[in-house]
Amino acid sequence: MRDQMKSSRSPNAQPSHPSREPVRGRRRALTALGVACLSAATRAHGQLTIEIVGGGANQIPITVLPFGEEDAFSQHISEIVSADLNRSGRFKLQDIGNVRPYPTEPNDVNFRYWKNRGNQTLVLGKVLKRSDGRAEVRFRMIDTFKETQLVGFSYTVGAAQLRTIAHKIADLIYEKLTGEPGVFSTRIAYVAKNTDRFELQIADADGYNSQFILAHREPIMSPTWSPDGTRIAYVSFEQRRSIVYLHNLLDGTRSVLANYEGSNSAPAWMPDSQRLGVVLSKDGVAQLYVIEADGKGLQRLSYSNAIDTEPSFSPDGKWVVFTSDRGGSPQIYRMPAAGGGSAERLTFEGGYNVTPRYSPDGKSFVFIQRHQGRYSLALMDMTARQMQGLTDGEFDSSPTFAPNGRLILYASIVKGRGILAAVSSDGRIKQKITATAQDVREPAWGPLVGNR
Amino acid sequence: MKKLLIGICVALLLTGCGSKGSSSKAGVEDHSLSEQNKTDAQKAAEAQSKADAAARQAAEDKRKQDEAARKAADQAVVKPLPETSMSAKPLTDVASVLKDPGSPLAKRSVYYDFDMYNIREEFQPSIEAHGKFLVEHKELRVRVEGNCDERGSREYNLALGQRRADAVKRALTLLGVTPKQIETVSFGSEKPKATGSNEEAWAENRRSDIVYIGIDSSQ
Repeated sequence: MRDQMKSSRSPNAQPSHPSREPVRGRRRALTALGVACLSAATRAHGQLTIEIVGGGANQIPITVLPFGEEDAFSQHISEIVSADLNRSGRFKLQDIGNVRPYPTEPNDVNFRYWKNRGNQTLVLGKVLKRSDGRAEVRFRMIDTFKETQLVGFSYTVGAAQLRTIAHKIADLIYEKLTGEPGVFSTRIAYVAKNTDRFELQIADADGYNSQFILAHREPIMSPTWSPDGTRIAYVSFEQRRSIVYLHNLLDGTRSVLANYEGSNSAPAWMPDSQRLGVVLSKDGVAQLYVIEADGKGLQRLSYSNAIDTEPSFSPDGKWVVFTSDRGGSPQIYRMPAAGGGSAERLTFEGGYNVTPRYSPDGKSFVFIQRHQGRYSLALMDMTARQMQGLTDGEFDSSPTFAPNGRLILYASIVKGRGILAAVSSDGRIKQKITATAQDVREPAWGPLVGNR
Repeated sequence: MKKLLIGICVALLLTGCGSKGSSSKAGVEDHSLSEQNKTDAQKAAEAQSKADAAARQAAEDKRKQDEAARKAADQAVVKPLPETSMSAKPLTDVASVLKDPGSPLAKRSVYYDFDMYNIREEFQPSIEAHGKFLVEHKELRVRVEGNCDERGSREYNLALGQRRADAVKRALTLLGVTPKQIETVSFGSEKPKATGSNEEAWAENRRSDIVYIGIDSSQ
């Protein structure tokens, strides 16, 4: 099943809308400028196409009907909602039947017809174009068996906000039917590389609206969102060495967070959005430090004669997991985030376990394991201390949890090209995400922020 | 030399000395400042604050040092020192020695096994040659750049690349090289020299490079 999000080359293959032609043209990518372009939020290379390559079990059947008069706008609400739900892997989009015109209000619904077809959960609505050019989006989700409305809302927005509204609707549906928050309104960050140009990109979770916030000829790595979603910390080599910067997304300004002798890297936010873990080699080998977001109050956290890097703080702020080769090979350890106390080794299988990332509920962490020469994702349950392999890639790296913990985005290399991919935290659903850029890597999933 | 002249000009301008013409004249006339200029400069300097005078004095000191260095260089041209005394050779000869493919110094790279940072036996002669050369040329500075292959974690590789570069620095300082002559940087797996996902490319990318600043690179 191919869920074409970004290109007009292949038809939109949502099962529910077989007859609809895609109307979105491919967005023009800028040619590489090859110069630093700070704080310029500009459309550019690296837009993403998401392809689902696996299927989940226990999918919730749902029927999303075309919204009345949505064709009056270039962004079709029902298509975006369907694509969101489909991509999550948790829904089975059902055939939309033969009733014409489609019902757009509860009064239009022939309950017997839908019941007989087995379409229990029906999403319908309409988009009214107002005289001022704005759109009123009316949406309802109906249980045709119980003949009741599950949820219903109306939004009046500018045409440019229709995608945002569609994602909000998908979030509402997701939450109503699964009991967990949807992540369709969230954003992701990643690094796109084109020949000699690196770009730090920010896009919607479905890959749309990608913009770069930083571009230059030197590598960029390890972007990470503040838990409040207002800032991104990252490592940039623009001064020909690794320095950690903080980028404020609200006003486009940025500051140097850590620029000490040697390497400065691996920023990791603490849950309060006020402090970060960073890794510095200023005192010898790479060690963990904690620093305030304004660059003050640097404190050393780890004391070993080995590499300590890739900190990830538990959501309750009590623990930090990290990679260390203190035992002779890189393995994952845990220690109190307040410092002090001894580090406890958490991984024992295999000679190379790196890049731990706490799940949003703190009950597990994802990491990269080497197994028979392949680097792939695995999940460790913190209570049972049991490990589960999630992917079978050859060069998987940089895992990042969706804020609801259901999906994990990561980087991979396929045929020499960097791509992004996603896997559900139970390993069942897989997505492959390719880009117009030569290479994409270093994904970071943003937080849930005030979207409901 | 050029930089120093500009420095003098700037120093004189900063002290507000004379007209634009006189300060540029001071520049053109080089280190052998004429009495006229000196007098102008001194007159002006007296009118300035103590801080300005100090700045000017610093420029003057620099000028004198440079003058002495220039004289020494002139002497060297007249009376060339024996071949063995490399430290008295002008920088251009240093560069040519470094670029001589027959010299042990031509080898600037150290290669590593996967996830290792120890310097293998086969690279000891090369390290020793660079150590000896840097001890003999205190004026030279190098940057050791650590690199890793693409596999695994980018962040772990950045730390490993730093360790590789620092291990080369340590080996050089053990040979007597002044720590200030050596800076280190890690590019992790971010700047692969060889492209491709195969053992050959990976082996090439697990590498530290010794870069002579001002000879191999401008910075």
